Formats: sequence, C-alpha cells, structure tokens
Amino acid sequence: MTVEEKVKEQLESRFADLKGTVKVQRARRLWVEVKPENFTAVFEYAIKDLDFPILCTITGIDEGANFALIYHLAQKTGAVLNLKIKFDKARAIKTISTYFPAADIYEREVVDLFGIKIDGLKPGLRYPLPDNWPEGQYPMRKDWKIESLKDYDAKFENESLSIPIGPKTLIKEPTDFGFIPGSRHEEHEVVIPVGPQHPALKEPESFSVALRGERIMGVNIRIGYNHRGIEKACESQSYIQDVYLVERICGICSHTHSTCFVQGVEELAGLQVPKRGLYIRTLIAELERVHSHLLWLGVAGHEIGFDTLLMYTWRDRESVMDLLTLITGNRVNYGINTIGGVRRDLDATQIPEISKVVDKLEEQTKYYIQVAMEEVTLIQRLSGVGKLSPQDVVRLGTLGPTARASGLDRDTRRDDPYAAYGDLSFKVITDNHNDVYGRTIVRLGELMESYSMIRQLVKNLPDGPIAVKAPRRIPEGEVFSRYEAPRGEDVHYIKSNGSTNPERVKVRAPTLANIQSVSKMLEDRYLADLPIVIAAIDPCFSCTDRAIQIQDYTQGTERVMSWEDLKQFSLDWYRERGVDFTRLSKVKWGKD
Amino acid sequence: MVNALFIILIFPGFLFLSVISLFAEYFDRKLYARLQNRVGPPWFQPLADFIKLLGKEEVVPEEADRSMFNLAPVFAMASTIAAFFYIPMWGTKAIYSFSGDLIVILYLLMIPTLTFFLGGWYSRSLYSTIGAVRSITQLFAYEIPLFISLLAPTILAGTWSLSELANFYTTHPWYWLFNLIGFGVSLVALLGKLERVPFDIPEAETEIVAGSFTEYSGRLLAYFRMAIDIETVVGASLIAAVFLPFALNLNPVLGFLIYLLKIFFIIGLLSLFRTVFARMRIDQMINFCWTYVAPIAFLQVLINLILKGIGL
Repeated sequence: MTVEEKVKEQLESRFADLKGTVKVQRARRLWVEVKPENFTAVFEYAIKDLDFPILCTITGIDEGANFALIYHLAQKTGAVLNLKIKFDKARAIKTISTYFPAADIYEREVVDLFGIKIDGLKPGLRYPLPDNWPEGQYPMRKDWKIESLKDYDAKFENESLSIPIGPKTLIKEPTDFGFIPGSRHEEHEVVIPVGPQHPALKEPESFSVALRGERIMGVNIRIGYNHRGIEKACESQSYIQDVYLVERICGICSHTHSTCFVQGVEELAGLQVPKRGLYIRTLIAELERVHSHLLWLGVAGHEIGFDTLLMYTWRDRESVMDLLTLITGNRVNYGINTIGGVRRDLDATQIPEISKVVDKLEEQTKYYIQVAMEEVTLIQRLSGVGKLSPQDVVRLGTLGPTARASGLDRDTRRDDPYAAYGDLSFKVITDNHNDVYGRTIVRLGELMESYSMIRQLVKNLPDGPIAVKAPRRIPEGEVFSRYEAPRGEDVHYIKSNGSTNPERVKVRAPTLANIQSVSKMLEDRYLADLPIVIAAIDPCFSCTDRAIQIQDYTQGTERVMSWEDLKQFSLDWYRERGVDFTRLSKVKWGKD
Repeated sequence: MVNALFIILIFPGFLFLSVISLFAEYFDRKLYARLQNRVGPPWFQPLADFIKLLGKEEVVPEEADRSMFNLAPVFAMASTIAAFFYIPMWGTKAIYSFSGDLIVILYLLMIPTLTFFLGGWYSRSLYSTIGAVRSITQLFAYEIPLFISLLAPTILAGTWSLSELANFYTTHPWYWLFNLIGFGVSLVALLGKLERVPFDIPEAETEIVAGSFTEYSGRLLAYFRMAIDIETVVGASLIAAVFLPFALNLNPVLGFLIYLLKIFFIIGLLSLFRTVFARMRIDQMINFCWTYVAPIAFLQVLINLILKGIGL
C-alpha cells in the first residue's frame, strides 16, 4: 500500500465524517476538506499520529461567499496533506502557532491580505503590508479594487513609516527574545537599526537589534518591503503571462519559481512533458543552484570581511552565468520554461562547453572546500555561530541547506521527485555542525553533487521533442507544486476555475520560512555575528538584468546588441574614461 | 625659520609624506586587487578620491559636537606627520632627535586612534558610537604588544632614541636578526593600529556601516583617510627603522631607494594579511592579542635581556 493510501485509510477510519472525502490526486498528494469545528482535532491527528511534521504554508482563498484556508502539511516521505477549511467571512479561526511557532507569519499574511480573523495570534509586527496601510483594505479579496486606495493617497504622503527606533521611544515590557519595537527599555541597552538600508543587506529588510555592549539581547525582524503584489497580479493575467511574471519574483532563483509554477499548471492540464524537456529544465535548475551557491559563498565571505573569497567565487560564478546565457539566451531571467516543456533545445555544440565549465568549476570548488577546512580565521568566524538545533529546525519550519546543516535529511528533489530528478543518482548532503560552518560545508557539498548531476543530465539526454502544446484554458482544479530551490523548498499553490486566468496563485518562497529561525540563531551572540547569521539562511537577493535592445531615440531606430557588441561597448566606455580592459577581456581564468 | 617651514611643509613633511602615502595606498589597493584576481585601480586613483572628497558637501549631524567633530581629523593628520620627523629614514639620523624620542613617537601614533574614538563618539550616531568603543577596546589589545615589541631592540642598543638605535645597529650590522620575532609582533600590532583586516573591527562595514567614520563626509572624511594613509607610511617607517636598520649611511639616492623598498615590503605584507584573512570578532581579537601576541612580545624582551646579559 502506498503512503497516500495509508494516510487516506487512517484518516477515514479515525474520523467518521471524512469517509469518502479524502481525495488522492496523485502519488504523494492528498486533499481533504474539514469542517472548521473539527479542524483542530484533524490537524492535531495529522501532525502527531500521521507524522506530518512540516507546515509548508497556509493558503488563504476568497471564494466569494466565504473564505477558505488550506494548510499544506508535508512529511518525510514526500507526501503532502492539504487540509482545507471553508468558513463564513465573519468567523474567527483558531491559531496554529501553538503547534508551529513559524506559522505565525503565514497567519499574519492571511490577516493582512484577506482580513481573515485569527484567534490567539500574538501581538507583533504586521506582514506583508506597510505599517501605514489603511484599516479595512484587504487587497487579496476578490472584490477589492485599487481605486479604493485613492482617498488615502494624501495620508500616505504625509505619514512616514512608523517603526520607532532608538532609546527614546522604548518603554518597559520585553516580551521574549523577539520584541516589539517600542516595547523594550533596559538599562545600558541600545537598539540599533540594521536595515531597511544597510551594507550587510542586499535587499530591504529591517532588523532592530537590541544591544548591551556587543551582545545581542533581542532582534526584531520586519520584512515585506519588497512586496509587489505578484499573487494578485497573477490573477489578472493568463497562465502563460504568469510564467514570466513569477519568474521575476527573484533574480537568483528565477528558474525555481517558473518551474514550480509551470509544473503545477502542467499537472492541472494533464500534460505529459517530453523527457528531453524535463532534462533541459533540470539542467538549468542545477546550473542555477551552482551559481546561487557560489554567490552565497562570496556573500558569506564578504559578511565576515573576507573579500578575497568574494572576488574568487564571483569570478567563477561568471562562467556559470555565461553558460546559462549560452543555453537560454538570458543571464538572469532565463525565460526557458513554458507550459508543456521548454522553449529552447540544447544543441550538440553546447554540450562540450557545459562539460568544460563544469570540470573547471569542480576543480575550483575543491579548492574552496580546502579553504573552508583549513583557513583559521574563516573557521573561527563561522563555527559555533548561529546554532540551530535539529529540534528547533523542526519547530521553526526551517528548510533547505539551513535545515540540512542541522542534520535533517530532507530534500524535495529526492523525497518528492519532480522534473528529471527521479532518473538521477545523487546524495543529499547533511552535516551535524548545526551552525554557519555546517551550512557552508553543506552548500559546498551540494555544489559537488550538482556537478555530478549536470554530467548525468548531459550524458543521458534523451532525444525527442522538447515541449507539447498546452491549452489556453486550464481545466478546473487545484494543485500544490514543490521545488527544491537553492535556498530551500519553494512551493506554489495554483487554483484554476477553468478559464484562461488562474483563480488563485500562492507562492511561498523559502526565505519566508527560513527567516523565522534568524532570531533564534542570534540568541546570545555578538553584533559581529549578525551579518553572517542573516546571510547564512541565504535570503533571496536580486540581480540586475542586461538591456539587449537599444532604442535610438534621435533616429528612431532599434538595434539588437549581441554579446560581442555589449562587450565591446563596455570596453570602449571604460577606455574613454582612461581605463583599458582590452587585455584583461582576453584573459581566461583558471589554469589555461 | 624658513628651513623649519620647508621641513614641515615640503620635505620630508606634509607634501612629501602626502605623495608617498597616496602612492602607498595605491600600492596596497593594487596589490590587494591583483592578489584577488582583479584589475585594481589606476595609479592616480587615491589622489582622485582625495580631490573628489575635498569637493563634496560636508554634513555635520545636528546632534554632533561640532568642534570635536571638526577637529578630530585635523589632529589625526597633524600627530602622524609630527611623528614622522623623529624617524630616521635613509640615514642614521632623524631630522629631530633626542633621547627618548621613540616613546614620543609611540604616543603621537596613539593620537589618531583617540581621534577615531572622539570623532565617532561625538558624532552621536549609534553606528559611530559602537565603532568608537570598538576602536578604544582594540587599542588596549594591540598597544601593549606594540610597545613591548618596539622597545625590545632598544635593550640591546641601550638607548630610547631612534637615531642612536640606528647608529648602534649600523655599527653592529647583523644584530637586527635577533629581533625578527619582535618584527612579526609589531606587524600584527600595526594591523590593529591601522584597523585593517583581520582587525578592521571598528569599521566593519557589514555590521556598523563605517564605524567611527559613518557620519563623516567631504573634506573631513578626506582628512581622516589621508591621516590613515600617512599613519600607514609612518608605521611602516617606524618598523623599518627599528627592525630593519641595515643599509643606512649609504649615498642618499641609494639610501632613499632602499628605504622605499623597506616600507613597501612592510606595506606589501600588510596587504597580504588583508587578502588571506577574514575579519575577527572583537572578543577573538582581544583573546588573540593577549594569549599569543603579548607573550611572544615578552619572549623577545626576554631573549634580548639574555643576549645583553651574556655581554653582546
């Protein structure tokens, strides 16, 4: 008996009124609708007796007459139990943060975006809307219109963001380690702002850090500065447009989001993607992981003042970026995915190039592993910093390399295989250091695994078509798609109403799950550890894209610049300003 | 009077020292870049940076103490230049010398660190305050090893005057080899004094933005940066004078070239450290200085006392 059938049987035998309602959608996917009054009992049974210890996310849906919440629970076998409750708009739902402290942020999200009432939610900062967002405006509700914000325009201009920072505004009443700004006033303590703009951060987040001397007494995290309303925007566009929109959620793991979305839609439409398409998709995914991990290594080096590592790894990372450009035509937002497969085939001349780059990178990575093992100041700065016990990982819902560095053997690629991962042989790298050093080791190990996967993919690349034709209208249904992004598991929930546009798209990027653990990791640490601990969960950074179409406004003509043109353009630009990079541009890195 | 002004303002005073300091900054940045596989700046970059900063708007925070905020960079620059006159460069004789000038140099070189503290403290910004406190905390870690290691060679020479020290080591040509341990210690301490990686804790960018200098801009920041550059050259000259006192008293041109070679060798070593190490934490730095660096400095003193005792 398969896992999902066993879960179905257990659920149906335990709760009489669920008989016949547990739906097995496919292998490892279960859907069940529960009455709100029975929810707590079923939820508790699922996490305790059925062993679903991971809460992927909570999806809120506005179904017109009522709200619905879906709790996506996962377990080690890769099975996902989607518990759905429907309830009246006025009804309050009990919080589940008693079971999962990390659920806090998902609940705040539905509170902010839908106005769903949650009972027992601890007081705290809102997420994800701005602090001066007007009361009673819930943008994800179906009947909400942007015009309703008109009256508030003047108010936005006059009111500054009100996060009180600094000793003057603090009043006594510390809660726990995480604190509410303005609630803390201890003797000899200062609260310093790290963010929203700060050299340690590559994107806006705000950490208010209460310090006594160098010691961190409390951290408060405010995120949501970059919320662009992509989920709402997805509802107003067609599926194929959404592929390109979700790709732009993140500059580093763009392929992550587009693949996660696309494979969900393919499942809804019942499309069989050709093997060759899946292999190419997986190849890009692994190349993306390589560039993301190399980027992380550099950022980690920079955070601890080891800029040499940054310069070396980012130099090597360029070769992966070039390879991605070669294969997909783009450096960051590859645009290779489409519903039903991929848009570009791999041509035979590209394969030797891939092997060449992978060989070189493997050699370099071995060197970085050696550096990580031997360099004294690096080890001193990383080991023992940002400790997170395996119990805390489970409790706080931490994912990806951060979880694996605390000895948790979880990887969606193996547990819930998608794309071509079922055909590949690879190891899931884990480590028992539980600290930033462990996270470094895990990421370096994963790089080596990625190289081996890329070799397997290129070697066993099947022949045949790369895509099948997808319908414009996607049949009614809902789907839950998972993808192991470089920084942890990325999940998408897609609901279709049978039209050309999705009814609801919900995205939970891995950083949202991981950020919960940061304040735990900083407990009893020094200020100097703050940047590296934040960086160690690899929060998503944005990259810039290149402009390839140049519009000449004086003559009204358009031309497309090739890679060589761009290179020449940049060389000329610098030469005019007195620096000549011509010689350097011909130098090849590495040993040749 | 004219002669003294020439010495202070032109050679080897402010102008000469500025030129050589800017060049030292270029050398450091270029070497650092090449070691990191980068191209690095063109030769005029430090000068261009300096001029650009001079032209920028100066912003003094409202909360800051204006006079302290404005004076700190000037004091930093003045004290480092003053220290330079007591260091023999290519002869055995410094421009000014008296018995005990080594101690004066050490105190003059402590003033920049104090100005970093005062400038940061009176900026009244949180980052600056933390940077200022770190500067002064760090001072207690490296200053003692620096003093001890620099005073160790004087035990053999029996003088606290740098010029007499140079004389002694010129008449006893290979004695400087006894002081190599002290040389290493003083390099490590100089890293701390100049607040460079791995001891750039007071201005750790990713933690406290720019530490003491966070609120500084324009002309004042330019002075501070110039003071640090000058301090680098003066620090290197001091170490060269104490630990590498050979090939002095040659003809002036050759002597000058050898002097440059010595200080750029020392600055090159500092760049190398910057390349291969990560920044330490303040607690690690203090532990390191007191458990390893200070005892090793004392070991040098012990060796020299024994050498002196057996009658060298």
